Amino acid sequence: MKHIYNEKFNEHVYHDVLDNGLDVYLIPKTDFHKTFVTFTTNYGSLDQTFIPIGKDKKITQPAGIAHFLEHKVFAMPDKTDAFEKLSSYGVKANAFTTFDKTVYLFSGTSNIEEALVYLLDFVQTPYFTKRSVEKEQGIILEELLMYKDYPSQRMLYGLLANLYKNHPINTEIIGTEASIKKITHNKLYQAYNTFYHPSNMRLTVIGNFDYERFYELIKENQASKGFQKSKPVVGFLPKEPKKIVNDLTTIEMSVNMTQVGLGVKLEPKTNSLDRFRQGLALQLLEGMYFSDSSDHYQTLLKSGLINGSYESYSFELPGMMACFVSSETTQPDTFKKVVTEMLVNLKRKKIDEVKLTRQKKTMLGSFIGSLNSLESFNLGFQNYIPYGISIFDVPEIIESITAEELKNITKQIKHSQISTYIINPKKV
Amino acid sequence: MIIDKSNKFKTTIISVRFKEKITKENVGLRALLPNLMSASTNVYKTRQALSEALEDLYGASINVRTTKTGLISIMEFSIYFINQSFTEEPVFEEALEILHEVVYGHKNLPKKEFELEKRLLLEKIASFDNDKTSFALSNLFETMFENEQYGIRTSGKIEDVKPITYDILNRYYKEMLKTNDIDVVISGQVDESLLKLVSKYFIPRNNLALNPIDYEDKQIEMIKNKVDYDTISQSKVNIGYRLPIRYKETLLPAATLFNTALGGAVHSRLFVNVREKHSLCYYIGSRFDAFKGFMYIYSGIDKSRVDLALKVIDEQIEDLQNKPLSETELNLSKESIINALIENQDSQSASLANLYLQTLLNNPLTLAEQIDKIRAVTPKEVQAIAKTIKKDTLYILAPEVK
Repeated sequence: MKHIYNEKFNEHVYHDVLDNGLDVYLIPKTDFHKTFVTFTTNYGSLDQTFIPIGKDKKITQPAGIAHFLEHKVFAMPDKTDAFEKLSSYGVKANAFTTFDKTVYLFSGTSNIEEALVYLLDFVQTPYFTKRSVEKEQGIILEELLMYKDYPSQRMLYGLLANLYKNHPINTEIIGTEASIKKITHNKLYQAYNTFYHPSNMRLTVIGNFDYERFYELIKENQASKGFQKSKPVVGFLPKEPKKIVNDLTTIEMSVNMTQVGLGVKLEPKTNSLDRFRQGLALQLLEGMYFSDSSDHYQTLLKSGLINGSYESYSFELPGMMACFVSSETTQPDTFKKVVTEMLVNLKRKKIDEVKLTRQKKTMLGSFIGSLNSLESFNLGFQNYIPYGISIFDVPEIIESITAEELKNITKQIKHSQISTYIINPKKV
Repeated sequence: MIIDKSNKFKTTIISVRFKEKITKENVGLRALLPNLMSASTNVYKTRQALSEALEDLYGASINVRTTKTGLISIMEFSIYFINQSFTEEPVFEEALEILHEVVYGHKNLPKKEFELEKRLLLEKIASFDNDKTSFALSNLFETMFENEQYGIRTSGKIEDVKPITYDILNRYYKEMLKTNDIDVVISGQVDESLLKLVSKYFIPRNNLALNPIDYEDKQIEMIKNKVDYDTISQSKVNIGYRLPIRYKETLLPAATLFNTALGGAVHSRLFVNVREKHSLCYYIGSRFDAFKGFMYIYSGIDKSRVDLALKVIDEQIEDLQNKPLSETELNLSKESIINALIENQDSQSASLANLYLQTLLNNPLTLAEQIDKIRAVTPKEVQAIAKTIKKDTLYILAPEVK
């Protein structure tokens, strides 16, 4: 086990890769009461095309299968529900699926060892039948309907579909009605065997626990299951054109005021660390020009084009990077025109170093705040691993971002890269 | 001063809270006032100037809002910032100065920002209805507490905010500073010297003898039924019950456990039966409000299966009335509540919220006392609670019939 100590934040991390390839991170924090455990597979909604374990040809699976699998992993061969059993240890259990991972988790203050062993056991016991898959389709279609009623979800996914022709980010994590209906128990096994191999997974424990004891417990549990270390999963993303698909969509929903969102498709770097820096530079750029302290925001507010629902955000993933600005507005066309010009004209601005420093301070403060809770520490900790960096490197990386890196992003922002999504109130 | 001292968090919270009884007349004023106070001050003339000062303080944030705890309206001004130890700057005192400026830094309220803040609030109130889940819940409360004090929405309604003029609000600001009770609340790594610094800026005041608990009750003659239609795809089914147990009463822990067993946790009857067994919905749960003594069930149900869901819900309640819970099932609920109480200590905001609630109730129970009371509850006591509940209102927000 490797011991990492960070003096600035006074945090200890113990790390090992087990014989079967499982990545284990133990982060003891004894001034806390609870322990928060996550068991994560590097498998999310984007991972639709891959070479199944032990095969040599790539396949493409229906959208939404990672999320579907997350629901079904809780079903046990003896007909019990792992969620109930895990909860019966008095811990709070949950699971969620994102674009790039699926996380099984629990937190609690007692019976942590038993719950941890059970977490490993149930996630590593797949059991999918034709009938249970059909029944689950009912539950997931209801969940899909619920999301359909949320304007913010429609806006984000609507913009992503407008920006991306082939990249699977153009489809909701949960999938579509049609794709959910295509999921079968055989397809679930195929995905499970490939992505739930310990070599593609990570166990992270943070909180009040005895790390040496837990390490032995985890090692023993994993050794008993006979997994052999496996090569990294080979996945594929379709080739994505530079151009966007659609520059404007207008829909009607039950909302009180028109909502308008603009999305900008940007070109991400291939190397993951470069892309990480690019993502930070984009966030800093947004902070400077589209946050509450920006001139643009004041202008929009004073001219009556936005209200308190205004927001701007951005994110990047393998093969994609985009930023968004949205608000409720009484003047959708003017909002679209004004914000588009603001975005496109960023390249003409000189990056103000005082403002950049201020945004870096803000980003650093919010990073430090995120270490407060065991949940955000654990999940944040995992987020940096795919980029090949540690959470403790983040403050220095923020500090090292240059005005030049921000400038480079602004050069990509052109009219042809921007799409608009408008949600109008439904006329009764 | 209310102090939640802890060394494990990397951030500090300082909060000043103005309290008075919530009324139909003050609700709009108290919703709008904090927004205008943080729009412009003597020192920070513009929103931008205030935002920049906060960013310079490593992205400190100011939260202003008015909420209610039972019958008390609480107008809160909080600043949240990273601990001084991470910086080479005196951020603690700078944070105090900014907070003080937002609260007291006005000879008069900023007149030129009034219309803008009023518009922003009115649009925010209108947009609450976009989230159909909370829209349906507000409608349940409005129907259930028609003519009762408890039905007042803290966010204010359009008609509460529209008639407010600058002069009315400016007068109210000055009156509030003079008359409201004031709590000063701090959480984080604070020592004597920092606390002394706080008292230089803010002084608590306690004159009004406010009680958050609402004893107003109602005889139910007929169950109210209301259905509204909206352009949604899933029916929002909400049911309100009177459960006449309130804070500080001996039966409180039993009532809390009844709610947890019914719909407050993942092993609960509603979740297991309505969601898992019958796949009738995506979400379902219940909550118990011990300020007022009522409970409600909230759910999102497939539109064609609402009747079956209602039947299963009724069956679950009848079952809890007719048969005592097994010790095992009751223990699951106990563990889940106790676990949550202990876990709260690991979240700076939850820990502070719990301490603040105990202070408002004027009946501070230690964590150990709260846990002991939960442990002592018997299945018979929970059954007795189940028998006291009375259905009051069924509210459904249904998809429009095409």
